[in-house]
This record gives sequence, structure tokens and C-alpha cells, in this order.
Amino acid sequence: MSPDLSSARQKAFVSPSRLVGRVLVAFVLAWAVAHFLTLGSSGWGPGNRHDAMIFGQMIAVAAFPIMGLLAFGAWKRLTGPVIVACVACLAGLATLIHL
Amino acid sequence: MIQDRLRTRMGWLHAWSGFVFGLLLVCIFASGTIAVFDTELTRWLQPEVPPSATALTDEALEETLPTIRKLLERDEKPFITLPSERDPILRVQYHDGHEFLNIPFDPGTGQELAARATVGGTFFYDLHYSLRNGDTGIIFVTFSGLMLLIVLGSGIIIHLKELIPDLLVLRPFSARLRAWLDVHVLASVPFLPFAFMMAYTGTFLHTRSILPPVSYLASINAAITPVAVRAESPALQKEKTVVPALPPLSPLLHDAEKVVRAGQVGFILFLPKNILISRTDASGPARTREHVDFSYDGHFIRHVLLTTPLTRTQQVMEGIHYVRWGGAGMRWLYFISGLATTIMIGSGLVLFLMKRRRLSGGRVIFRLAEGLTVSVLVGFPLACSGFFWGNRLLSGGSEQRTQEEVTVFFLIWAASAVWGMGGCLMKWRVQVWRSELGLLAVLSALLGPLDLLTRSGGTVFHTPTVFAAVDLIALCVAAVAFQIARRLA
Repeated sequence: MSPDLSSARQKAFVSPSRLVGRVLVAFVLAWAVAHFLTLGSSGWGPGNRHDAMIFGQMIAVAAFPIMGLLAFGAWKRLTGPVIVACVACLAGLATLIHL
Repeated sequence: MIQDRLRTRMGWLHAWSGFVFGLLLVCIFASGTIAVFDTELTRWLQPEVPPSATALTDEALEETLPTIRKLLERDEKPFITLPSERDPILRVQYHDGHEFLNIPFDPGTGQELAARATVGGTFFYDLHYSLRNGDTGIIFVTFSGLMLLIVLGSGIIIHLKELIPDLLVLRPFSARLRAWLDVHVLASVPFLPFAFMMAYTGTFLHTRSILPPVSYLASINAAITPVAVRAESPALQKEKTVVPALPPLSPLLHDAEKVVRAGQVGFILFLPKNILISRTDASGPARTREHVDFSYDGHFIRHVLLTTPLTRTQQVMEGIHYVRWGGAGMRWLYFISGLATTIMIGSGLVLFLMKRRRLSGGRVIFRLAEGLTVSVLVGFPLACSGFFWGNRLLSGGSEQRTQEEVTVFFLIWAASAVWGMGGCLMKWRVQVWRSELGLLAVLSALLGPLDLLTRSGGTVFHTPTVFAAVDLIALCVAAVAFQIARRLA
């Protein structure tokens, strides 16, 4: 077996401790998205603030698993974590908006 | 080392998050499944109350007022549940911090019915949404619901290619691992929409507990401060004990019926300042909680109905989670779906252990995990069975009877957990599973005879539906437990 092939094969495997680290990163990012959505949503409704908050909660509960699975699943070249981090940043910035 | 591919990554996430949260989720789903029939269970748990009754009269409603007054003087917030298709009895109820305790009345005469005090079917409801631990329990349950969405999502990614073919495969007599995997997939795939719907709506109901619309620091402050202020304010405490004169209820009820339509009133709630006459949850899929408010001098105050599109959506989500609007058929569908989802989670726990037994079976942590699994998968139904036995065998006169029922449940569950974990640590794995399953089979099988012996006027061939259904389900549980115990290697 050539050294190149061996190292490529090694790269194709991951230790459980690394997976735990990935889970933590994915969890924090997905939680940030959900938290910012619920935090900001009450300011996004022009009329009834309660309605906007309820809508934010509906979106947040659906967004958390999607973001979590995306961040954990699409780990190659950190595509998933980067996308979810961007969404979290956008949601964080959106908390500054008050309609 | 694990192959770094999407499917294996998701398999790892599915297995570990499924096991860790599955231990809790199996209790949440099992208690939720039982709580679908909470009203009917309360009737089983109070066998002195007749299974049928005459229609509600105005006089009967007025007869409940002295009891209401007593409860108001104790700073309770009592409410009267009007007779319905599910329960023909007039009941005065109040929340004791955990369950809704009830005092039954004859809806025709208003005479209080002598029945044993019981936590009733709402015990399982409280266990389902708060683990009987108030706000802390709600946080755990809501968080587990959120995690269930992740477990379900990762499970779909793993099985995406085989989703339909797996539906057609069940090999109960093949190798054990294969057979359990078939059970897991077969219980999962057809009921995925149900599991998703319940996880999503259930989590949404209490989202505020884990994702508050304010920063976490502010919500912690808000949670602490009002309690301290309330405890230090003697003026507020004094105000609570003053109970105003109660007005005749039937004119208020008839006025409210003009707004919400006749037969659509579900309950009359007595708050310190006013009386709310509320629409029944059975009136439709949207749990509107529309109410007409009256002052204690009998004057109309307001009619409250929230109708914005998002509030309506929220009401529908609550309605489809609680399923109080569905008839008996819909509730049975929920019961079967809940049972299948419980089996899905339970078989997942078993699979997790089976796959790791060869490599890690000797490790202490594995044996503890197996002990926990026994405590949850067998200990929980064992405790439920013990709860029903306790209800019928505890003496009726004790004031603390409701608490004793709860103690029986938790004592049996604790004993099962101690034996389960202790036995597994001592490497008596098979004996632990067998003994607990055997005890479950015996207790469940004898629940029917116990019901007949402890229910006045009970005959085998003329058993009212609620009693027959509970007894037959217990018999089915006994048969399944016996069969699993028999096939254990």
C-alpha cells in the first residue's frame, strides 16, 4: 500500500471524540440561530408583537434541527458550519431591526 | 474510528442522541399516549362514580357553589367541568400544583358523589409535559422534544434510500439484531408524520421555556424576582382570602351560551376577580379557549376570542397536540400512533445496546446503560400497573390518598430502577429483564380481575367501555411482556 493511499484512507475516518466536538459546534451554532430568531421576532411585527413572537418561535423550533443537521452533516470543507454561522450572524443582526 | 461519510456520521448522531434522549423520550411518549385517555382513566380510577348520568340541570349547577366557595377560601382556582360525551358527570376541579383533582357531582340532582380521591388520568398528563417537576421538568421535556426532531431527521437521512422497501420487511424469527431493526423501522416509518407533528407541536407549546423572547439573563431575573416580591407582600396574601358572594351560575351560563352557542361551554373558571365561562376544547381542532367573563355580582364584563391568523395557527397546533376535539376514533388513532412511536424509541434503545454488547458488554458504563434501559422500558409500565393497583387497594378514607397513589408509582419505579441497575452491574442481565417482565405480566394480567373485584356491581359481560378498554389493554401488555420474557436468551 502506498503511503499516499494510506493517509487518504486515514483521512476518511474520524474518531468519536472528534465527532463529539463537531456535535458541540453544530449545537452552539444551531442554538444561536434559534435564539436570535425568538429574540428578534417580537420586533419584526408591525402590528401585534405577540403574533410576531409566536411566528418567531414557530420558525425557531423548525430551524434548530435543520441547522443542527446541516452544520453536523456537511462538515467537508466546513461548508455546513460556515453556512449556519452565517445564518446565525444574519439572525443576530436582525435582532437590531424594529419595525 | 468511524468512516467520515454523511450516512455513518448521521448513524453515529442518531444512535447516541437517540439513546441519551430516548431514555427520557420513551417515558414522555408512553405517558402522553396514556394521557390521550386521561378523562376516561379518571373514570376507571373512580369506580364509585356511575358510568352514565342524567342531563345537567340548573339546580345541580347551583349545588356546587358551597364546594366552590370552600376551594376559593383555600386560595385555589376552582372550575366546574360540565358533563360531556367523554364524561357525563359534573365535576368541580382544581389544580394541586401537579394534577387536576376532582369532586364529582350528579348532574341531575347536584348531589356530591361519594368517590375515592384520586390524582386521576391527569397524573399521566402532568408526567408527560413536566415530569411532575414544574418548570424544570418542562425545560427537560421541551429540550428532549427539540432533540427528538434531530434524532428523527438523522434517522431519515440514514434510511432515505430504503425508506419504502423497509416498510415491507418484518422478520420476527430472523437473527435478533435483524428482527429488532425491522421492528424499529416498521414502527418508525408509517408513523413518522405523527412523530414529527407531536415533537414539533409539543416543543412549540413550551418554546418559551428554553428559547425565551428575551436574553437568558433577563429571563432568569424575571423568573426569580416576582416570586420574591409575592412572598414578601402580605397585602396580596390578605386580598386572596376574601371571597365575594357567588352569583347564581345558571343565568350566567345561559348568557354565555348565547355567545358561544348552546352545548359549547366546557368549563366555568373562578378567578379571584371574575368568573370565566369558557368554550369546550372539544368544539373544534382550534383550541381557542374563547371565554365570556362575568363579575362576581353577575355582570357581563367582556367576550374574549383571539382571531389573528397566527393566533389561530397556534390554537390549531395546540388543538392537534391535545386532540380534545376528536371523537373516540381519533383518540384511538392517537393512542396507536403514540404506542408505535414509543415502540420505535424503545426498540432503538434495545438496538443501541445490542450493537455494542460484543465490544463493550463487560464495561461498567454499558451495564449501567442497560440497567437504565430496563428501568425505563419495563420499570415505567410496571410503575403504571402498580399505580392502578394502588388506586384500587389503598384505603378510601385517607386525606393523603392522592399523594399515596403517586408514592406507590414512584416507589415501584425506584425499586425497578435499583434492581435493574444493581442486577445489570452484577451481570444478572437476563434475570433482571426476565424478573421485571414477569412481574409486569402478572400485575397487568391480574388488573382485570382486580377491577371486577373492587368495582361495585361489576360483571364480566356487562362491563362499561372505559373499564373494559383499560382491562383489555392491560391484558395485551401482559401478553407482550410474557412473550418477550419467554424469548429472552
